[in-house]
Amino acid sequence: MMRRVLLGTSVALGLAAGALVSMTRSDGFPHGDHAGLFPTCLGCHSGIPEGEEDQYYSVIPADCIRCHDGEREETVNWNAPTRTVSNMVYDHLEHINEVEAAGDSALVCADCHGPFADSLPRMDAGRAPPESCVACHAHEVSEHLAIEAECSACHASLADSPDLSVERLAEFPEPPSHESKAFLLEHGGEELALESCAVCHARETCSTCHLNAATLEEIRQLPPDERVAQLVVGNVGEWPEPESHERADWEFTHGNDITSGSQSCASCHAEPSCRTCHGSAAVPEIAALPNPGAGEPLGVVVPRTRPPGHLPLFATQHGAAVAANMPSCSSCHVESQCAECHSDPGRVAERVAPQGAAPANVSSGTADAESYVHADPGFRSLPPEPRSGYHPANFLVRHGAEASAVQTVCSDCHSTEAFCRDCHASTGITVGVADGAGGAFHDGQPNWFFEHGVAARQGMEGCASCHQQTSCLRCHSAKAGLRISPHGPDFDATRVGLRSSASCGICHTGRQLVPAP
Amino acid sequence: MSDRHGVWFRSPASLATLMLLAFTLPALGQGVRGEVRVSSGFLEARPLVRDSLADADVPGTAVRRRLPDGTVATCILGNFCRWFRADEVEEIFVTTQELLATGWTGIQGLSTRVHLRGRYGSDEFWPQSTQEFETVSAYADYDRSDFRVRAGRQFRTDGLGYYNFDGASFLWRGWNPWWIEVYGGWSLARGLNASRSDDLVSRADVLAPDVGGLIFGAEAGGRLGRIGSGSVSYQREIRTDRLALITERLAFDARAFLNRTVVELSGEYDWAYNQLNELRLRVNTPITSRLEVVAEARHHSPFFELWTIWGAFSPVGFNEGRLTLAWSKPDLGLGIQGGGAYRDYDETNAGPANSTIRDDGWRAFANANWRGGPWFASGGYRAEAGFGAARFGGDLRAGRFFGDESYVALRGSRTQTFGEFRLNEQLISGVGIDGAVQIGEFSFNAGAAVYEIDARERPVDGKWTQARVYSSLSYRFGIEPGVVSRVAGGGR
Repeated sequence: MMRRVLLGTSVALGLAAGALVSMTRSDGFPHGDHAGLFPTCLGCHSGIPEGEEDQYYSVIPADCIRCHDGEREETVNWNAPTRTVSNMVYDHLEHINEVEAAGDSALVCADCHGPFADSLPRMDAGRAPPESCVACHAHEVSEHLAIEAECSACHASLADSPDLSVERLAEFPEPPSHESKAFLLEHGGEELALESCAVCHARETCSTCHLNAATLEEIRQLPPDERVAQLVVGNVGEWPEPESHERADWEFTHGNDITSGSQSCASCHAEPSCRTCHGSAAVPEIAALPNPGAGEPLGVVVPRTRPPGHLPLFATQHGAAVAANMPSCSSCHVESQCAECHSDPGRVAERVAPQGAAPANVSSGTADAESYVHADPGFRSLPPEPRSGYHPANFLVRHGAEASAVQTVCSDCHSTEAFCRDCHASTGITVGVADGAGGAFHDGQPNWFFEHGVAARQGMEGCASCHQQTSCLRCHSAKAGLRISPHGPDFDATRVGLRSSASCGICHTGRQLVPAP
Repeated sequence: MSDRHGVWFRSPASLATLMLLAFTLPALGQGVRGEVRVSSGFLEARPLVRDSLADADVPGTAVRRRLPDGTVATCILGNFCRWFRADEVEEIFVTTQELLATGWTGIQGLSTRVHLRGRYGSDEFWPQSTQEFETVSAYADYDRSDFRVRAGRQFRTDGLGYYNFDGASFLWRGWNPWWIEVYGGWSLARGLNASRSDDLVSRADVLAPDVGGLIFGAEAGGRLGRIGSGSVSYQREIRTDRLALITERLAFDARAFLNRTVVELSGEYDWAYNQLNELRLRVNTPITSRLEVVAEARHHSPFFELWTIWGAFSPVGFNEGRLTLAWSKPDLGLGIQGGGAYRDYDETNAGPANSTIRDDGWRAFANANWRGGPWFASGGYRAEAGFGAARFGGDLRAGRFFGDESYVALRGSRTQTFGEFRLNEQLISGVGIDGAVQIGEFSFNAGAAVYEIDARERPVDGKWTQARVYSSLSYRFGIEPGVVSRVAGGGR
C-alpha cells in the first residue's frame, strides 16, 4: 500500500521526469520517415543552440508544404507542438557551454536524442531518455532512479513546478529503492535530502503515513501542495514492522524502548494503537501520541494478541505474574475485569458475564480449570471459544474432586463459611453435624470415627466447608468432652499464642470468643 | 471506631454523592463509562435429608447395614439407623443487578470507580442470596506517573491474592524500576464484600469474630530490565479491639524470562503458624514454535485465619508435580492441550497405621479446541482420582459465530463422580445450549441445560432430571474522555 501511495502521489522522482524531459516531444512527427531529408536537426529546432525557447520548434507549416504540396507528397496538416510543461531544470545552451568549458568533446544532438543504435535510421530521434544523462554522468549517479541520485540537480521541486498537472504527477515513476521495507523504515534518517524529496513529494505525502507529520521538522519543511493532496485522498498508509518490533519480548518490553519521548512511535502509532491492549491506563507516553479526529488516519491498528508472558494456562495460573508485576497488568487490564471472576462468587449455576468483558471469555466452555487457555482473540491466531464464566459448565457436580485436589484454592474467592458452608447447609450436606449424626453422612468409610483424623489433616478445608468449629470442640477441647489434643507434633503453641491468645482460649481456658449478645 | 465500618458504603446518601461525582456532566476531560447488568439463574436441586428407622427395623447388627433397597444406613445398636436421601426437587432462582462505572473528574489523574451489586433470591437456598446489596468497590483514585493514591473500598492484587478492603493505599513508583506500596484500613471477609463480623459469617459459625478487623501491609518490588521482576508482600490483620491477630503473612513472587523460557517462583508464608502455605516453581518453555510445555512443582498447605481453630489441628499439605503440553496450529485453528499431575500428602501423624484414607492423588486431562471460519468446536476428557473424591468425564461442544460477538453453541457432557468418604457415585449426563447476541452496546447471554443425575449407590434417590437456565443482559454506556471511537477488540 505504501508503494502505491508513493507511486500514486508522485513523485517519482525526478529523474523520472527525464521521461518528461524538457526536450521537445516529437509529438508524433515521424522522424524516421524523413531520414535523409534533413541534414541537421537545427533546420527544425533552430532555437536550441541559442537557448531561444520559442524557436525550439522553429519549423512552420509552410516548410512542410515544400514537399507535401499534394503533388510530390500528399498534403499534411501538421503544427509544431508546444513545449511540454516539465520540471526539468536543464538548459541546452548552459549545458553545451559547460561541456565546452570543461574541454570535453562538443555535444551533438544525437548524443542525447538518438538514434541509439546504428541499425536505426539517422532521423530516429526523440525525447532524451534519462539514460542519456547517466551515460555521461555515471561518475555521479549509477542510474536514473538510483537511491543516491540527487533529483534536484535536474528537476525542480513541486513548489517550483506549479504548471505540472495532477495527472502528470501521478505518472511520476517510483524509484525501485522506495519499494524496499528498509527505505520505508529509514528514509527519514540523517541523510534525508529534502531537496530531492521535494521534487515529487509534498507535506501531504508524508502525512498519509506519519501521524505526527505536523510535529516533524523535516516534514514541516516540505511545502503543502494541493495537487498532492488530491492524489493522496483515500490512500491508506502502510507501516512496515521495524526489526525491533520482531523481538520476542517486544510486546511486553517495548515500554523500555521509549527512552526519548514518543515521537518515533508517533510516526506510525496513534493513541488508539496502544489502547487496544493498554485500555485506559494512564501512561504518559501513550497520552503523548496523536489522537486522530473523525476521519483522520488511525495509524497502525494493533490486534490484541496473547502477550508472550501469558502462558497457555495463564487464566488460572497468573497469580505469580500479577504479583511480580511483569508485565504490568494495569497496562492492559482494568480492575473490573479481575472482579468478573474474582469478586462474584455468589452467582448461581453457570455464572454469566457479557461477552464484551474480557474475563468472560477466559474460561468455562468445556474445559476445566487446568486446561483453560487465555482466550484472547489473538491467542497466536487461535480464535477464542465463546465462554460464559470462570468455572466450566456443570461445575456444580464436579467441584468435589477439584476442591479436594486444591487445584485452585476455593477460599481465594469464596468465603468458606458464608458460601461453602451455607450452600452445604441448604443442600442438606451438613444435616446432623450439630447433633453428632454426621457419621451417617460419611458412610463410605466404615471406620470413619478412627480415620477421620487423617482425612481432617489432609483436607481440613473440606471439613470447614461443612463443620463449624464447635463440631470438633466436642472432642478436641481441653476443657470438655474427650479432651483429645488436635495438635500435631510440629505445632508451635507459643508462636500462635503470642499472636492470638484468644484463639488458644477457645479450647484451653473456656474464654471463647463468642458473638456479642 | 465502628466495627460496622462498611455501613457508610451502604448509605444511600454516600453512594449518591459518589455517583454524582462519577456522573459529572461531561466536559473536557470529564466523562463516565460503565456498564449495567442484570443476570438471572434458575436451577433445580434436591437437598439431602436425614432419614431413620428404629434399629430393630433394619436387618443385621453391624454399624453399617443396608436397607432393603440397598441404601447404606449407619446404626447405633438399640437405637436408630440413620442415612441420608435426596428430598423433593427445589426450584432456585437468583437475580443479580450490577452497576460498574468509572468517572473522570476533569482533574488530571483523578477518577472515581464504583461497582455495586444487588441480589435477589427466591429463597435462602443459594449462598449469599440474602446479601441483597453489596459494594464491591467504591474508591477515588489519583494516579500520576510517579505515584498513586487511592481511598475507599478497593481491591488489592498481590502475592496474597485478590481481595478488597476499606481504606487507603499509596503506591510510589518514582524510583523506577522499583516500586513500593503501603496500605491500611479495615479488612473485609474474603469473597463477601462485608466485614468479618457480618451476619453472613456469624450465621455460619458461632465462633465468628464479634468485631471487625484492621489490615495494613506493604509491598515492594522491582524489575531487572527485560530479564525479570519480583515482589515481596507483608500483611497483618488484627481485630479492631486489638485483642488478637487475625493473620500475619508474607508472600513473594518472582518471574524471569530466560530467552523464551518463563520461570516463576512464588510462595505464601503464614508467619503465625510458621508454615509455608504455597511454594510453586513453574517453568514454561516452547519446544517448537507450536508446542509449549509447562512443568510445575508445588507444595501446598492450607491457610487458616487465627480466629478459627482449624490451623491448630495441624493440617498437612501435599507436594505435587504437574506437566502440561500445549500444542497449537493457528492455520488450522486447532489447539490441543494435555497433561497430568500427581500429588502426595505429608505424614499426618493421625489415625491408625493401616488407614485406608488415600494419601495421594493424580489427574490427567486432554482438551482440543478448533475454530474454522464461523464454526468452532471443543472437547475434553478429564480423569481425577485421589484423596477426597474422584471424577471421570468428558464434554463436547460445537457452535457457530454470527459476527464477532454473537454465537450459539450446543454441548453435551457425561461425568462420573465418586466420594471417598461417602458412598456417592453419580453419573451425570447432560445437554445444553448457550448463546450470546451483541447489538450495539447491549449484550445478551443465555443458556439452558438439562442433566440426568443417576445416583448409582443410592437406589432410594433414583434418577432425576435437573434443569438449569441462565441469562444476562448488559448495557455499556459512556466513553472515555478524549477517545473518539473505540478500537475493535480493545480500548476498554
